[in-house]
Amino acid sequence: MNLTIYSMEMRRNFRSFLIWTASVCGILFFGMLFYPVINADGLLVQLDPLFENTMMKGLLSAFGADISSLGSLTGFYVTYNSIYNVLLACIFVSTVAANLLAKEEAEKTAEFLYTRPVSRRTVFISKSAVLLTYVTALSLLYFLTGIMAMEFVKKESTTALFVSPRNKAVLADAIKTHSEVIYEAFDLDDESFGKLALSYAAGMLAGNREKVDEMDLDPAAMSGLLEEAGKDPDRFFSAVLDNPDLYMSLFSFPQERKEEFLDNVRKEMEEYKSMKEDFFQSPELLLLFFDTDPSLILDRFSESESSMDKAIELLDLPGDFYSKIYKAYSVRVLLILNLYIFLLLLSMGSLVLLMSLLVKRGRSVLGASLGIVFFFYFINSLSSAASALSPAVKLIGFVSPFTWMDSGFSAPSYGLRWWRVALFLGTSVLSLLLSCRIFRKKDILI
Amino acid sequence: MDSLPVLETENLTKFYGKARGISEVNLSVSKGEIFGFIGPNGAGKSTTIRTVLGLLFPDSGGVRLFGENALARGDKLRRRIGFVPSELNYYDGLKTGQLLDYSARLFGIGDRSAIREYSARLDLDLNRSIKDLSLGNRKKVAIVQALLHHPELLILDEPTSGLDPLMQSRFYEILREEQEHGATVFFSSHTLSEVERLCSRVAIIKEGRIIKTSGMDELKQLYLKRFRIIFPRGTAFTVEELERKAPGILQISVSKRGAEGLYRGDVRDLMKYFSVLPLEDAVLEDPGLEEIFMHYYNGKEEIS
Repeated sequence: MNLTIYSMEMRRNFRSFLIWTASVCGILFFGMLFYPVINADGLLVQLDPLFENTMMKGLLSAFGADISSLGSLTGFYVTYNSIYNVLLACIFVSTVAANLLAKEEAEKTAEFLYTRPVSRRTVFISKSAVLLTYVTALSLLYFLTGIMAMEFVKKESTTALFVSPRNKAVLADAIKTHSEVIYEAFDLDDESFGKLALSYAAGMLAGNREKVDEMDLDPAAMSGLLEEAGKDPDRFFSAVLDNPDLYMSLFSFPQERKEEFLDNVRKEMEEYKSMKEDFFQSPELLLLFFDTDPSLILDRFSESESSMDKAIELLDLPGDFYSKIYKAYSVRVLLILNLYIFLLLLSMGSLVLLMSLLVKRGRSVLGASLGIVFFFYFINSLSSAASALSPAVKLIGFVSPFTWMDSGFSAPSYGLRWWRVALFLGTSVLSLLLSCRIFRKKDILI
Repeated sequence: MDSLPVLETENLTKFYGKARGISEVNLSVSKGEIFGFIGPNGAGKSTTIRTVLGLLFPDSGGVRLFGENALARGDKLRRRIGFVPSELNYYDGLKTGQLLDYSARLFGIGDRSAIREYSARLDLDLNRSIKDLSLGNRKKVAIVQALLHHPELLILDEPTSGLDPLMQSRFYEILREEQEHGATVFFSSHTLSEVERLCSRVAIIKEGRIIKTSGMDELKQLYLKRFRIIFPRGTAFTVEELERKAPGILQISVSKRGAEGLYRGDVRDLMKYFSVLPLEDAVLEDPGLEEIFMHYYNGKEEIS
């Protein structure tokens, strides 16, 4: 590794890197802003039945659409990525790789550089390091832009969070079977239940509720009362029953209706007790409690990050569950997706670099490398389209690195497949080693 | 001076493209000498130099630089070599100073005084962009980048083409200084006058083969003399007559008042013959290398 060559090569590609990165990240960010509009009121979800059509499904997957969860933020991200951005990023990386060594020969500067006291191997390593740096930087910036865009969309989106009844049932079921997890996450136990169920505790006044407004009650005293009730409902109830006079006067309850008051309190107490039991036994109530925003429950599990992976793990939900809750996304999934993008760019770059060493001097390496990128891209698209009709055709697509990170990746759980990673890394390492071997013994004809 | 050769090739053979290449090239350049390497364009000068520098890999044969195998340790050995290429292609986006700086850093040299010194001597503006440079100025860049790390061996591939006469003479001056400081120079050219002026020994390459290696003096003295004779008015000779009377005369051309040509052989024989001719004037001189060179190229039968 020679830092002089490295920094010179970095500088030579820097402007192009800035332009391409700004374009790719810009397109990603602004594209994601369309999500709330496109998916207003779960519009994309309503298209679901359409995707049952084989032809339609094939066509959409040809463009890299994430059929399984097109309507969700994550699904939209995956789809949007595949159509434009990954292809654009690949083109940038190919131009860098194609020029890395071939440009020295095409512009005949090789005669200068390769007669310096630097071995060919060092030249190769320094230049490959530039490719690696730009691939890494692009992937990283792309990842960060993705997160920013998701956060932005989540915050700014007026689209209501949409959970289909089927998925609501899945969530309720998970909460039911793992209620202890929920209570733990919310820091709930029998003692502190009152904190959460303040409204229920205050319901002891139910019999008097409608009259509260008429009562000339000091608001501070009222809130103090409610707080007391909230802290420890059980003690509060027994205190009221032990010393009803104090509370009756507080509520201006006529002394002669003392029995009625005590009756009310006892009723409230019973209601509270049964509700408390219910609450711990039928999580539907809890779910109802958060019905407006299910992500409240899921978010609770991972306060430090917006990822819901922990919730998904603890509640035994399907791996891609957050993708059904439309505004939710997972940092882990973004990380995995961007790792695939990184690997794709790396292997594309390596392949183009290898090709640039095989092409004869004077031929346009750049044109050929773009040809390779598009060839791979369309092989993947066509095989995806055809696979809707016959799954076996998909195998043809495996010629193309685009397929290695393609839709199969998103289903069923956005997991990291090690054999795919190995395929990418293997291709990259092999191409680089072979390139280095060729380059070290290459005649520089000028 | 009698130490190991600084540059040595052994049966160096390299073919590429359509019958282009070199075959069994043997060269041996001693320390401290200025060695000329001449041949017409396409004879294999640049191929030889590129193989020595590791730009090309030989089909067979070997290269030794400073006594070490250049094919195995080329990168280390190149630290001690300065190279002026025949074609001058540099990074167009850079300024002259930036390119020289880049080269210095690749040679691991922190001191930029050599760049300033040589640029000043060659009138090279370091702030000009390389893509705006004329051929002559590019040549200056090439010369400065070859010298800035004080190399022990200078390999120059037609270094003076494009330089104006003033700069050429400054360049020769620099070369002689480098030689005085112990540097060895390997100098390829197809303009023979400069080789003649500078070099102590010379190798001639033709169609990829070395056809002659000898000391410059030997080459000039031993083989050919150029003569010019002026006849008195009224006398005339034919070419045949002259050639018959003086064997060894070559390439004679006769005009109205005189004749000129080359002669190979003992000079005394030629003078003996001239002495009996009714001559008004006779000039005998060392021929230019061009003529020796042309002679080698024209006389195919003498090569084999």
